[in-house]
Amino acid sequence: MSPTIAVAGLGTTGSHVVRHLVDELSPPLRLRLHDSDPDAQNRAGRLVGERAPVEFGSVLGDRPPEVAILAIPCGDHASLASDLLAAGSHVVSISDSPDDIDALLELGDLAHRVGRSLVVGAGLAPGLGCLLARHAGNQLDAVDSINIAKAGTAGPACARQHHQALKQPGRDWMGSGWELRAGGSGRDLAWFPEPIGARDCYRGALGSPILLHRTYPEAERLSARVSATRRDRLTSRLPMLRKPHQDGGPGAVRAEVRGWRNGRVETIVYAVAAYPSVVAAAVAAVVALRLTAGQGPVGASGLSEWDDVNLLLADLHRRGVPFWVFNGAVG
Amino acid sequence: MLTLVRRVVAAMGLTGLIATLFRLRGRGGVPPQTGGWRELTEAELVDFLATTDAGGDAAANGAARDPSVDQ
Repeated sequence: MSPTIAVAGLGTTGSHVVRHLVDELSPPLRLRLHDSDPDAQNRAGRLVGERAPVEFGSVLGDRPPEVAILAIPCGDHASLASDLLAAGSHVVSISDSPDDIDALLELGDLAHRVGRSLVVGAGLAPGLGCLLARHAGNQLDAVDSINIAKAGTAGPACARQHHQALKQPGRDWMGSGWELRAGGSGRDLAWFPEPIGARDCYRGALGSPILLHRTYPEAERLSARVSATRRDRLTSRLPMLRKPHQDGGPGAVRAEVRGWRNGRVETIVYAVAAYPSVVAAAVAAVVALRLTAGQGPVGASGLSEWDDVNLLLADLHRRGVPFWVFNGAVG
Repeated sequence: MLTLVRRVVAAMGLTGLIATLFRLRGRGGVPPQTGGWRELTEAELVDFLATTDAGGDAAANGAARDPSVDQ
């Protein structure tokens, strides 16, 4: 019998997750779809069509799914993940909120006890950014610093989280401990592949350093930035002044990894430029499919902790995600 | 009032002198004039050693670059 994958949250990113799960690259699956908005459920059902058996309703249902993908807005991921793990499901969360990430990592013991995987931050950043960093780190003898920068947002929930992130302090790992830095500070001009190009990026409440520290505890510096305009920074302390877009359009993520190889300092920069909603969904879908195949570490983990990151990257490439490496002197 | 004007003129003169010194004596170097993004193939993603020579600080390690990606 085909494995069942449940998708909770059928917004912009969740809908793309469903699309990836039923494309020609995926094995036969059964889907369980849930959203608090019945219209979103119906839309996702039409998207699947005849390509897979679909049931609607609670993610846990009568029988727990093999894998559950949490694409709901930030905030409720840990409680739902706890119920799913206890029921025997693998869980993939795409939340990029540091609060969610902390709470999910605390479920690591539960995941170990039940022998299931809890994948934390399986979206754009954290998620793809962690994969890029690990891929670069694998080529170095030692990693000194990693900086993740991302530009753009996916759906409305992602845009709200981006707005929140800029007004909250972010955690940077500085060798001897975590340092809290004000959101919206630390302007850094980051170059992304076209069509994004150069963007000013700032600190904020971003989850990538928390997860990367589990893979690179010896690193001297782990930091993350997010692109923002002057208006974003000026209005970050206010409620959102207008309704966010249904899809934030093109975006990008880049991982700049500095370390040592053969006694020399090396810097490797990898990046992806694409729609964040599509890429985040592809990451979650690819990870979920690996879990249905019995792959993936038991317990709570970020994607940089996976051993076969290059295979995950190849899976994503097959799904149309373009990867870029920066050639040239990195300033 | 005259003292204030003299101080302002002195401060501006000193600022100009220091700026001139930096301008004439500074060695800021030349920012990178080449470099750009190169798309990776699936083979390079699976076998990451294939990307090693082309990735990173190519100016330092002398790796071959695709000249078509220069910015």
